[in-house]
Amino acid sequence: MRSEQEANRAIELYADTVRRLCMIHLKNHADTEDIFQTVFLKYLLSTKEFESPEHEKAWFIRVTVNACRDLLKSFFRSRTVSMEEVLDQPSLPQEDHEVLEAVLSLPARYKDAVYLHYYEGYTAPEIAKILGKNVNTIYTLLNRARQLLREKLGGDDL
Amino acid sequence: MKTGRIYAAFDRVHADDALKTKTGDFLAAEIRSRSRSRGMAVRRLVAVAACFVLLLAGGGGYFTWLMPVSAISVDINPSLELRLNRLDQVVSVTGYNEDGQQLADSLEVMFLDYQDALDEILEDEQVEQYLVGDDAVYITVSGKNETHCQKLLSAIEDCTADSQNVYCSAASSEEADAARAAGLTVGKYRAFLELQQLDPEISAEDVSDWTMKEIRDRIAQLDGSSSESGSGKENQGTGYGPGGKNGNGQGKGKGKGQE
Repeated sequence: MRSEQEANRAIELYADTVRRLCMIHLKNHADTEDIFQTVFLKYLLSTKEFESPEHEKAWFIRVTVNACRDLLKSFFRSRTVSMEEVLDQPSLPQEDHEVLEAVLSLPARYKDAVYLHYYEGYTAPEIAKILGKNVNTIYTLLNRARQLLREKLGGDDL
Repeated sequence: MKTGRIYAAFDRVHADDALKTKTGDFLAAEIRSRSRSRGMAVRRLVAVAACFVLLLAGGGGYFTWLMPVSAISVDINPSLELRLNRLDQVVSVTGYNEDGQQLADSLEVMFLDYQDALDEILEDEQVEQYLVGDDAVYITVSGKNETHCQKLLSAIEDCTADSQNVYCSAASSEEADAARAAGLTVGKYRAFLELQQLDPEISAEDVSDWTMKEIRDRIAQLDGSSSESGSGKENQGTGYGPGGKNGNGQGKGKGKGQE
């Protein structure tokens, strides 16, 4: 088991990443809290040695995505919620609000790839490795997602 | 590709402090409860291990220090038996007749090395009185481990090499058990068996208060020969089982001759 200090360091470093992934997948704040507790508890109890900060970050992404999927499968989770609650971010400019709304309205299987590529800057092979999918699948997902987002948002500067 | 609208939009999303604090508090509580339960588990494990070690140490201690594995019987008139542990230390002293009981009570030989204990017995005033006379000392070693008994026997023979009228022999543990059942030391039991060959009427009870010299004299008397006593320093048969030099074999032979 890791120390409290290590756990706090991980929260400081990866809370935003976990939060963004939660926003992509989940519909309310209570579920986000659950995922935070699940992911960081898993880290606390894990004895895994990370080779580099990148390795550690990839671990957090993978664990968060899996935890979100598990939660979505759960029968008891809350299923209906407004987009306003999903984008539970104070003082979000209108333009950013529209972009996030467009991303969140994409089919579920596109969203992780879009976030990991456009925000985290991972390449398709890296995303394939993190998500445990075929590289060609990731290319396809990114292409389709790009088309859909262009339709919704217009312009090339995604 | 850290530019673009998607990047800018996601970059505005942050985990709020309340969420981070709540997660931190949750983890701290988990750490406390897990270390508490782990502490309890460790304490329980330590307690079980300590009990096990104590049990093992107790068993091992008894096995090494208190369990008798060999015996040395000393017969003059006082008949007594020293029982020895694995370290060849005296763990019990038993007197087999009145004199032997008195001598056993007066001795302080518990946990002494067997050689020191024998020295103390042979230097005892009461014993010396017998030795000044014509009495002989019969020292018999018995035990389950034959090799060990032979080692004890040769050490005792070396120690008593300078003393007159000291006869040393070894006996099997079965013989020692039979002697104990008859209420005699092994040395006296052997002499008794020899005498019984010549005088079937005699019982173990009868000879328990006799001195070894008296038994030997009686054997010699019935045997019609005085070659038994006074033959000087002689090993009485260091082999195992009945029938040493002065054992049953000789008794039978002489008995037939008398008929």
